[in-house]
Formats: sequence, structure tokens, C-alpha cells
Amino acid sequence: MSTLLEERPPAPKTTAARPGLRGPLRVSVRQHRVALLIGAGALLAGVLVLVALRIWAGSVADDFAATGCTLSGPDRRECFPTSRAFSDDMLFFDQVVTYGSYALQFLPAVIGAFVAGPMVARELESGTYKLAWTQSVGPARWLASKLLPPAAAVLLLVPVLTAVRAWATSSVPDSSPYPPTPWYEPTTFVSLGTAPAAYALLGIAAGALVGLLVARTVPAMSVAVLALGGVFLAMNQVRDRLWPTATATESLGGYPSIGGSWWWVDDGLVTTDGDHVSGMDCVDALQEEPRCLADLGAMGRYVDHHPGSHFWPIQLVETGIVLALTAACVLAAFTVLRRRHG
Amino acid sequence: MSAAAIEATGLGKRYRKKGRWALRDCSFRVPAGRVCALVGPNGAGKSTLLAQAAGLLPVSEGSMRVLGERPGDARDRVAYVAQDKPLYGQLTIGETLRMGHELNPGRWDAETAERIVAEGRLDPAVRVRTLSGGQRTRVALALALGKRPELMLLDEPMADLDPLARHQLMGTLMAEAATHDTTVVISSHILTELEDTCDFLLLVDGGHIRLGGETEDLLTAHTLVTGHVRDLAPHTVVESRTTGRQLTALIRPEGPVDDDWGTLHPSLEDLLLAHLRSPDAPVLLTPSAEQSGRTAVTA
Repeated sequence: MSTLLEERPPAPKTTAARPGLRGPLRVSVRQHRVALLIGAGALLAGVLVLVALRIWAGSVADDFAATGCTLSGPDRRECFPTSRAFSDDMLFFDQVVTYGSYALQFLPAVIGAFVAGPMVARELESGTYKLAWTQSVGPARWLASKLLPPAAAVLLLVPVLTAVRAWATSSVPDSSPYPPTPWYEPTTFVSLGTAPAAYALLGIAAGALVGLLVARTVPAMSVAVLALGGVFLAMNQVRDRLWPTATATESLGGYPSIGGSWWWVDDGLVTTDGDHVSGMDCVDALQEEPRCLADLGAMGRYVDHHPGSHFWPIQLVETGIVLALTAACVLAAFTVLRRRHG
Repeated sequence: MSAAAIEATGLGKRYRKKGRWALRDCSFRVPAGRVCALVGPNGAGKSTLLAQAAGLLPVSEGSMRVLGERPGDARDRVAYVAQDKPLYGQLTIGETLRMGHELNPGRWDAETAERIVAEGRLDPAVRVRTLSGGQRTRVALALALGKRPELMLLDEPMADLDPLARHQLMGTLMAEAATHDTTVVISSHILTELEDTCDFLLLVDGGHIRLGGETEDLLTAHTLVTGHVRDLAPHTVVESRTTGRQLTALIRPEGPVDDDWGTLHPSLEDLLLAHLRSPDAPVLLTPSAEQSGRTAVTA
């Protein structure tokens, strides 16, 4: 990485050196400065909007608390307009946060489409790669200079946005009638923790690989979006298996008590042999329930679940998988570049 | 024997597996310091050859050495101007030259590049996108020459220029090449564009090298003969045409030509057209264009 930055040419007969980026990085940033500025600006705007809204929501909740009204308290006629206004404001706040999570979820696909299309495939499509790759620095440095500026922007801004987004919901005023969506919901999970930055990096790497392979701007953008969407869907399918579940059991008389932040994965009956029979509760066979239970040799019920404390283990495993995919894409992109273009 | 700027041994290229060969069995040598015309009809393989030498296309078979190295490894000493003169449209001319400086650390000659642009009365603040064909070519050449290359590969550089601009740019190019003893390979399907400037010639046709060598040597190796129709043995006949009992032929004399033949020195155009019309004429490489197996092994 340092080689990209240390190209301070010794030649004296050159235009006066200005401070800042050198070599291919400078060229790449200059080429895509509008897009990079818009992208970074949008992320920054997201951070500011979330902070401002969270502060506003907090003050709205404080004002509401000061009125002495509650949403669930005894019905007081004079409280109705205040409660209604508070409830509406909380709904607005909840919706903005939800759309913010959606935006964070789509960010990798947007980044991937940009890297695949305008950054990489367009050079191949328009033939400017023939210019870029015949300069002294060569194709590998060219590709590196395409990957580094967006990666730097992502690593600087996405963690901030993620942290602000987590703060905005973790401290939703307790009195809000709209509690934050649970941590294990797909849209929530990938907009919290380390996952957003990892997925955004995957967007860059996969975008570069797709751009090199497809080599036409618009198809490359579509393929990049589809590929990243595919990774999202696949990860949603396997996420509950990324960490061993916890199991709660209870004898036949009752049901296991459920924690508020549990991610319910599986439930069923425990037999006398100690086996877990998934999806079987004998409740459908209303009259027959005792017999049904006896036939199975059931002696209790179980619930497989991820308690709230599994958030970080699952996050880190998923982040690891996504980063491994990212590394594989980067490696593949450089290999494709070397194989196909000498 | 002087060092080779380009040396190819059994060079072949096809773009797809089991596809058509764009180049096949090409063995030749371009000595350093020459101005070489790479001529041939459209689709002959000229662009493929140049792109391979520039390190843009992997070689499918055979091998190629550029300035003694693998094509991609010599990148810093080779300048290449592709046929469509690719440039970044959103950059200004000044920024484009600045890019040349950033991407060729330690080599860039800003003075030369800026002078070539200035000679075309081009404003450095103008965006490349707005330039005419000739202006683009000038900027592309400025970028190539600013690199101070040892070898310049130019793919049909003058194709879309008016005669005046062509003359000017060719003059600039040749002056720079002579000053720095640069090897230049220029492809064209218009021979007249190159006839006065090139001292070396490669004729490519159908993916094969047909002729190669010093222009002078190639010309003296051929004779135009006219006379009554009869056998031309032992001379090698490139092309012969009969009109009634009159025979006109381009031959490579193998020994003295009989006195009763009328003989003429062919022009370069005669030579090329005769070879293009006769695909079966044997290949001729003069010694300086012949790839020497020995150098390839020791290189």
C-alpha cells in the first residue's frame, strides 16, 4: 500500500509538487472526485441527520414526560392531543431510522455498482484502459488505485454512520410506542455492528471483479447489484447457524419463559430418551393431546434460540465471512487482470 | 548486430479459444533505432501486434521480447498510442499531462509534453472531451513523448488528420525520435503516409509477416521486369501479369537478369501491392529483420 503513496519522482523538470496524493491514487481520485464527494457527502449527511433527529426525539420525549401524561395511563381528556402529537413524532423518528437501516443495507450494492460500472468497466468499454495500463505504473497499480479511495471512504465513514445508527435506536426514548425493530431482523442486523463496513468493502471488491469480468458499464452494474443481493440473501438464510444456539427446556406442564431479545430459532418436544423432536407440540390434536404426547414419549418442551448476547458473536462470524469473501474477490480481480491482460 | 527493439518468435494470438488466429507464426525482429512502418490491409493483425508489444494482450503462443524484456515488464520504456487515441474526456489537457507525470514517476519530461501541446496552440485549461480529432492526436502524442520512451508504438496515429496536421505532427514526432534515438513503430494501411519517414518495413497480411527489413534492402531485392512472355526461372516471381504477349512481373532476382528484359526499380507501393495481390509469394525477411534463435535463448 505504501508503494502507491511513495512515488515522489526525483525528476526535477516537473511541475511544482503540490501536497497531497501522488501517483495513480491522485489520478484515480481526480477522475472520480465528483462521485467520491457525492458518496462521502451522502454518508456524512446521513450521520448528521440521524444525530439531529435523535436529539430532537429525546427533547420531544422529555417535553412529553414534563406534561405528566403517559400513553397508557388513565384516560385524561386533556392528555389526548399531547399524547397524539408525541406518538406521531415517535412514529416519524422510527420511520426515519428504519429507512436509514434500509439505506445502510443497500449501500454495498450502490458502492458495488459504482466500482463495477463507472470505475472499472467503463475504462475497459471505452478503451481508456489502453492509456492507463501502458503508463509506467502498470495495471496492478491501476486496480489498486481504484480500490483504495472508496475503501478509505468506507472505513472512515461507515463505522461512524453505524455507530450513530446504533445509538439512535438503542436509546429510543423508553416511552416511545414504537420500540426499535429487534436486533435479529435482517435489515437491522446488517445495519448494526461491524457488518455494514464489511459489506461495503465487499461491495468494492466484488464490484471491481465484476467490472473486470463483464467489461461493459451497465451490465456490470446490474451484475454487481445481483451478486451482492445474492450474498445478502444467502447470509440471511444461514445467519442463525453462524453461532450455536442456546436451548431452554421446561417440563410438560408449561412453556419455557421467553426472553425479550431472544431470536427464536426452533422449538419442539423433548422425549424421554432426551431427543428433541422439532416442530411437534401436539397442540393441533386438541383432544388427543395427552395421548399424542404419550405416544411420542414426550416429557418436556424446548426452545432453541439466540439470546441478545449472541449478537456480537454472530456479527463477528458474519463479518469474518464477508471479509474473507472480500479478500477472495480482490485476489481474483488481480489474477483476472494478470491473466487476461499480460 | 544491434540490439532488438522488438523480437518475436513463432508469435501467435487468438482472442478466443478455438477462435480465428489474428496472428500466427510471426518471427521477426525490429532493430533498435529504426523508424518502422507496420503496413498491411485492414484486419491484417497490425493492431494486435502493437497491443501485444505494449503489454496489453497476453501472447497465445510463441514469444515476444520488447527491449529485451517480457512486453509488460518494459512498460516504463515503451509508449503506446492506440488507434482510437483513448484519453480521459473529463480531464483538461493540463490535467492529462499532469497524469502523465504522476503515472510515469522519474521519467516524465514535462517540458517536451507542454511544448508539443503549445505547438498546436492548445489551451491547457480546455477539457479533452471538446477536442477535435487532430487535437486529440496531438495530446495523445504529447503524453507518449513526455514519457521519453525508448520505443514508441503508434497504431494508425494519423488516420483521422487533415494533410497539414499530419505533416506537422509527423515532423514533431520524427524530430523527437531523432533527438532521443527512439525506435518508432507506426502502423498504417496508407503507405504514402509513411513512405518518406520510415527506414524499416514490416508487411503484415492475414496474420502473417510477409516482408520485413530495411526499406532500401527490400527495394533492391526486387526488380520489375517487362518483356515477351516466357519462363522467369531461376528468379523468384512475386507477381506476374500478361497483357497479350507482354509480361510484367515483380521478381526477386536470383543472379543476373537477362539483358532482353526491360527492368525497372519498383516503388515501395509497387512492392506492397504486388505482395498483397499474391498471397502465395514467399516470405522475405532481410538479415536485420530475421529473428535470430541464438539471441532469443540468451536474452
